[in-house]
Amino acid sequence: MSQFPYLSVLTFLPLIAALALIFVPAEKKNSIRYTALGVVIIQVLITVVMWMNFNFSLAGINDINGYQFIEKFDWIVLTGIPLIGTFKIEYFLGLDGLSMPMVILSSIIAFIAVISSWNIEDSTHKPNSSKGYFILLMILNTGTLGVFLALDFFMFYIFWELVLLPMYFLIGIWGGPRREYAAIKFFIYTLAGSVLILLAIIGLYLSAYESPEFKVHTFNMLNMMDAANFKPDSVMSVLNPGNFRFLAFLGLFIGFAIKIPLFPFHTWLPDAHVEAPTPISVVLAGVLLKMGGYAILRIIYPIFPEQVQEWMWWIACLGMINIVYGAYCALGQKDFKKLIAYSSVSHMGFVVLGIAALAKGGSTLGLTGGVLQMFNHGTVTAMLFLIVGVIYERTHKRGLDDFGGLSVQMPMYTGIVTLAFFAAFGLPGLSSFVSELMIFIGAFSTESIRTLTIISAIGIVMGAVYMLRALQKIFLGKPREEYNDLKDLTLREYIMFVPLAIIVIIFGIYPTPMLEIMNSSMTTLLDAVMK
Amino acid sequence: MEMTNQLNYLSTLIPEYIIIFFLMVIVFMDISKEKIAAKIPLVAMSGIFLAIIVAVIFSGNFYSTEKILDPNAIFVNDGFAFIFKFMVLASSLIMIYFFRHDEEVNSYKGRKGEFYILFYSMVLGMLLLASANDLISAYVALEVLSLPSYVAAGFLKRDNRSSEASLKYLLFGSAASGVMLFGISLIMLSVGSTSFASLTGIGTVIPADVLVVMGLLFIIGGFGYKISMVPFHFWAPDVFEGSPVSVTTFLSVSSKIAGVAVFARFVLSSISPELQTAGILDLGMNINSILVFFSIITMTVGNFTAIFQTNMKRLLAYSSIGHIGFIVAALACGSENGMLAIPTYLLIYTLMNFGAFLVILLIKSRINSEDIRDYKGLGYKMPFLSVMMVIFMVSLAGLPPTAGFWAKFYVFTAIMESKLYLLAIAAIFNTVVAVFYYFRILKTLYFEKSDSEEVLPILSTGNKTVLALLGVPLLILGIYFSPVIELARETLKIAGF
Repeated sequence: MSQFPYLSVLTFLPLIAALALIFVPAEKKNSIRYTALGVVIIQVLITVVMWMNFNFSLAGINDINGYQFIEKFDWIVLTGIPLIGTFKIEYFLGLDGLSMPMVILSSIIAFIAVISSWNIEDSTHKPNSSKGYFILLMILNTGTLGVFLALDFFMFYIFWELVLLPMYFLIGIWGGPRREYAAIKFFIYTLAGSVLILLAIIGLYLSAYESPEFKVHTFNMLNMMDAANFKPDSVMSVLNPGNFRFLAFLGLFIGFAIKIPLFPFHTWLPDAHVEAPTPISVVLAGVLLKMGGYAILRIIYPIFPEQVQEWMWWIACLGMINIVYGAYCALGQKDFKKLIAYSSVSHMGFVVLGIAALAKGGSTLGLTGGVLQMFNHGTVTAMLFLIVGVIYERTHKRGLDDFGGLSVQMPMYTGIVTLAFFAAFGLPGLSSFVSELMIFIGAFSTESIRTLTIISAIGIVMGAVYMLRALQKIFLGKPREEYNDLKDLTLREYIMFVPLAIIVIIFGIYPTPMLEIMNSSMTTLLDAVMK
Repeated sequence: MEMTNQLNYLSTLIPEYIIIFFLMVIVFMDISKEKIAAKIPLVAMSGIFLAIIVAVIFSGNFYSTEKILDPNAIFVNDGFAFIFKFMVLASSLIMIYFFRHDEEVNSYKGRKGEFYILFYSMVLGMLLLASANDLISAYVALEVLSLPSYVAAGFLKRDNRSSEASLKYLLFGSAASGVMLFGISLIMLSVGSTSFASLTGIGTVIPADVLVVMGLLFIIGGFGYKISMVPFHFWAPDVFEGSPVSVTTFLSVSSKIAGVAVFARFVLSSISPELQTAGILDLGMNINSILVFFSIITMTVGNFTAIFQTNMKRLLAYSSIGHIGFIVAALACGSENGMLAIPTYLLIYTLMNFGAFLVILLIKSRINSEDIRDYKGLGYKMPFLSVMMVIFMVSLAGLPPTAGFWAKFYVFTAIMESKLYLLAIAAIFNTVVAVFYYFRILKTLYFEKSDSEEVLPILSTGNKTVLALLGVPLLILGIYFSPVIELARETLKIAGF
């Protein structure tokens, strides 16, 4: 393996930067900010290089030969442990058509987050706090990328937990008035999910072998995906009639659902979003929520296919509830940021509906749409939260009724807002339309969940209603005098909006580049689940 | 042959002899001139250091041959004893550092020698406990540890709370030791011997003999009191709050290591050998199901009560009850992996608890308070101290990437392997609850504004080094864990488990 370790560099570069930043004095604000910026720019460049070298025909999912840029070493090996024998944890990173879109998304969002955090000291009134802030942001960055790249279940868990800590402090220190409550709520909710995941991991570990011949217990996800690798009388074996596979499935599903967040585990999200500072909301909505959806596809689908088939309707049903309930709550909001937060709940429902659209020999439209929707929602919601941030930074107000007629005072800003809002409710020609269309076609053609799909369609209409209502209240109508001297977008704000706007428009007109990354992986994934 | 056995027998207690020797030296130093008495901490430290070296050298004894000792010996020096003795001595070394920085203890000038004499007696008791292989010797060792502890808890005699702590500890302690002695007599009655070796299988006999079950429960009560296992824990919070910080640290860390050592040896001896290897516990009434019960209530009561504490020492007291619940859980598995988890857990428990208590001690010497509400905004006033506190708290909460996670992980693995799912669910539940109160401390440190603007004295380089020596290993072990588990496995394999 003489090839350049792209994935390790991509994942651990921010962590190394964070360690280096510890030794920079807190007053040197600029060197701290530029270090962080340098790191995320390098990450984006690495991602672009990987994209150019990406082999679209390889599928991945349950076949190690289908993964690219693999890095696989033994990390911890202990021999002669009683009953278990060899205890082995691998350092195993790999990339396939499922993780690639998520990695692209993470790099972009990390870049946007750093730009948007540029004046974090001033906007949150915490002088000399840049150092701690950027160190935590960099650790967070390592955590999210690690989750998307790790193929060893144990490593995955370490990264999954690594995301929690910096997030807790970022919300708790730099957040709004109720930040403490929001931070601890976020933490406890996610941690409750994490321990369920941990139990399932240990159960799987004690049951799975590397291969039927080579009887060494393993944390390797790919080995767990083959039912033949399980010890026949173990708790996770399909052959054992008294197995606990359903419980493990449930534990993992709840753990991941909390992150998405799926009804009824969604209540941490509005609190966390409203209290978090803008860049952190961007990362939270843009990347962290995707970890849940990604983990369901990466882990639950191939390891527990029979449970997924059995509970497909219920998963779709939860998706439907998310769509309609999220939109319904968004309709009632008076706070701009809370509205966006609930719209996130609604849009993540589409993802779940899409990935539940499975049929034997059916199309991969739903799955592909679901993953594409994760990517699109990541970019669009990032824009929406940035939009709230811009207006909040200038006026320190967020209520929908506090504004009116801003389109006259801030024309460029209004242009961006209009684009983002239209993208959010899926206007044809913009990125979300493509993914939502795919999800609906996929879900509608799956007979068992057709009714749910029809109900979910209400969500789209409601989406248009709350988005347009917000647009109208804030930007249309009579301009208010108190906002006459509001500045339009600054250069820094252009730098964060323009790339996202370009992505939204390009993938709306020509989504092929993204789709061809996923194509073969999604086919394999569907086969793995519906075999 | 006879002669070598005798010599071997004597050599089992060599670290103890060293401690006794230095104990006498300290007594004489204390009654001589002040100039000499001032050197006591130094002598105390070198005594323990010497004991560690000797313990390590004589650990070679059990590397060479399998079982040179009579299994009925009242003290044994096997790998199991060695690893616990090593932990006891190493933690005692750190304890001396604590004593030197505990201003409450130091404010009683002229009683310094007395304090170290008490401390040395406790160390002696702990070493004996780790080796004890007979109910009677275990009982005597327990008393050697307990009696000086009562005095040490009341060391601040001008402080009512300290005296209260001492008295409460004494009352509970004597009751527990009486009950335990009664239990021992019941076991003696039905088994005919007090040696651990003769207990084999009594914990799993079906149908159980009433005498044996009562005896077992009473003895568990006696040991449970020492490690503050619920429902024998009532002394702990008051004693921990009333005692000086350094004594609290000692009682909640070092003395528990020794308590767990003898408790584990006792439980192991009473399980039948087949059960040890199988790790399957579907037998009805046996010592393991009793322990599962104790484990669940211990962790639940400890963690839930900790939520409502505002005094840091009290909070850590309850949290340590929660941790004991986890250790008892590992013990309840009765499997080899459970055994492996115990020293592992204790080692990490020691590191993180010492760290947390040291932070409390250092903060107390600056703001003169142990109340969590006075910790507001300290994250900005004492950045280094607070960052270390974050590491210790995250580790205590058992989250990656710290060593605390591995400690918990091993216990979870052992539990799952023994198929004790109820225990697993309880443990999971408790992990989440524990996070809540550990993070409340971090929240106070970082998220709340300080009431006063006063500038606090900065830490000395020595303090920083010791804190880093406790904290950095937690991070390193969190990423690369093999050494600890290798050590635990090596020593336990030799012990014949």
